[in-house]
Amino acid sequence: MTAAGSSTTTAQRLSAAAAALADVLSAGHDGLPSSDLAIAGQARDQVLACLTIAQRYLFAGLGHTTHLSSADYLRHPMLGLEEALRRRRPTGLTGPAPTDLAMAPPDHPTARAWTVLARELDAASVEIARARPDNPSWAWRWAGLAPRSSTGLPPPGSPDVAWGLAADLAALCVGLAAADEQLAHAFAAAQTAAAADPRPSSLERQEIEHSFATAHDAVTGRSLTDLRVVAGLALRMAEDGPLPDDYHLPLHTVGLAPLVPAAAADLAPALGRAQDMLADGPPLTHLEHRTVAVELTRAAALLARLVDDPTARQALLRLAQGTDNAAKVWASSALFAATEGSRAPGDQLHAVNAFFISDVTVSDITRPAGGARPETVRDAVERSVAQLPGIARAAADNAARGLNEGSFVAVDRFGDRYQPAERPLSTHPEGRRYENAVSQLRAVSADVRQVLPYADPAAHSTTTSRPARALLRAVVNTPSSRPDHPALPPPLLSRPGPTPPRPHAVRR
Amino acid sequence: MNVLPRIWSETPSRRRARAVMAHLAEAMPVDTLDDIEAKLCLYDAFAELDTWLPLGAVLAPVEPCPGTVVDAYRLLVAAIHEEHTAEEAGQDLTPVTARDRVATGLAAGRLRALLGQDDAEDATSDVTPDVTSDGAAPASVEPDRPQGPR
Repeated sequence: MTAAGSSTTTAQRLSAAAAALADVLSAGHDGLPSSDLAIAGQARDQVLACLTIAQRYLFAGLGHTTHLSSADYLRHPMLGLEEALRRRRPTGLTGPAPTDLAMAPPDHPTARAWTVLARELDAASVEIARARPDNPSWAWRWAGLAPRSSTGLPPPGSPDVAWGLAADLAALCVGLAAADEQLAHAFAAAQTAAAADPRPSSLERQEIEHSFATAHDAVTGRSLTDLRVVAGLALRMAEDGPLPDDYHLPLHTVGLAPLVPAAAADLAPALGRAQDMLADGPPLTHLEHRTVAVELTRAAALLARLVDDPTARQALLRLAQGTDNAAKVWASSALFAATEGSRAPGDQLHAVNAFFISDVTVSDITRPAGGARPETVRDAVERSVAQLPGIARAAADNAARGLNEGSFVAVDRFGDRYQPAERPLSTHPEGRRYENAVSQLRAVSADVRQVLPYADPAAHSTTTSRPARALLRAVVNTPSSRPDHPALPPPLLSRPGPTPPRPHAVRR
Repeated sequence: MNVLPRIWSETPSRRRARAVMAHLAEAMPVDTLDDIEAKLCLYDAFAELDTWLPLGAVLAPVEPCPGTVVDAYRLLVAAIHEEHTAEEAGQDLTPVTARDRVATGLAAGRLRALLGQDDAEDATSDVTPDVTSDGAAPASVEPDRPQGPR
């Protein structure tokens, strides 16, 4: 869910991680005590794992990389980046547990920045991994990088989001490679210091030496798929087109249980989940569409009784009339559903409406004892109202998707028997009737959204942070040496200079 | 995808009731919030008839037939005790199950909320659907089939 349920988007999480990585690089690793160096090493391993996971999910739609030759990685920087991450080794250093670090952060700013970086990237990678499977990996098919789906239709998902995510991850990979170079010097220094330290016992000293030597080898290991070079190529490729400043990967919602509101504050997240279920879930059957339309009508009518603003009340009445029109069409449907559908969106909206008419709500929201409603309750009601047009729009889009993807079958009647109609749904009278209902619902949703005095948080989310790729710009533009491999063709690995702004690379 | 779902059999009164309800969905006003809340009872009645179906079964499409809420209510009440008619014999009928009767009763209960006190008493006093006696009551969803009290 976008801004409805969580205020932090995926892009903002990656931005926070990039800011922490920039802090790591600017503060440097000089003078880092060995205990803080262990913290940095452990956090670095976590960052590497998170980037690997995120990159793997991002390019899941492109297939496995195990059967590609080394040259293929160079030809395809995106796949090469995944392979380069996979070939990077962990340092194996062990620091304190994350809970201990949260309670007692390290004193050194670099070690502290490493822990922040690991935490933020962990949250982002989990978000990416939990995103619906067709988002964003399917977007690559749409973007033309991979074959289209078997139906030939463009799958859902935005290529811009996928490219934005790819650019940010690539920038973080470049930053990680730069941090690894700093860590290599720090590990070498720590190894030398451990060898010269007379205090620990001989065995202990050998262990410390060995662990820093292993860590040093891990961060200095170079291969054909050098992380910094490949990440730089991937970033350049991703930036060769429009990139969104803010984006979010919605949770994979198919099969998700409805969120049953227990307090007014749960209303907006519950409604946001209904919208996600409609947007991300499968096309609904005609009965499920009717249920969604009826529950939307009910929600609009119930909320119209709760709002104080007459403009909002009138807008909700208009929305209820629009969704009633859709319910009317679905109620006399002469189409059959050819797919399984999902009851989840209807159940979710039903749970919200049940909350509105529950005893608790009646005393808490609709008839407060003191007369005026508390500020928090009024805010929750207004946020709920602001979300309804978006849900109506998502329901219309879901129906349009079902009509386009052949989820409905028009039938012809022969006596008491029904046979699938021979003419396509697009030319069938029922098909046209449904298309009209969809376009009307979209129009009503747009009208009501404009009239409503409350801002839809999803529609008006503003980003306050710069994208990760922008924060790590200085690192990306720092010249680096080529990987020392004799087989590398120089033209491929020569670092690209600063890319001049292209006419079509419009920032949004 | 040319496989149609299984169509669940309905007794004649129940099918006619749905046809009247489809007409009411078109005809009932939605000018005010009170209108909309009244109409929601009608949609709830629709939902009661659908949600009790076996998995994978659907009700046959119906064409709207003119009628009033009282007509629909009386048809549903009559359908509670109704069996398939002899003229339907030989068709691929599913039996009238207990769930069908409960669903029909629940749908009738939803419509009853729309009736005024007098209407409710009148409608309950005579549950036999004489749909053609006053000329304004519903016809069948199948115009070629003879209409009349059953």
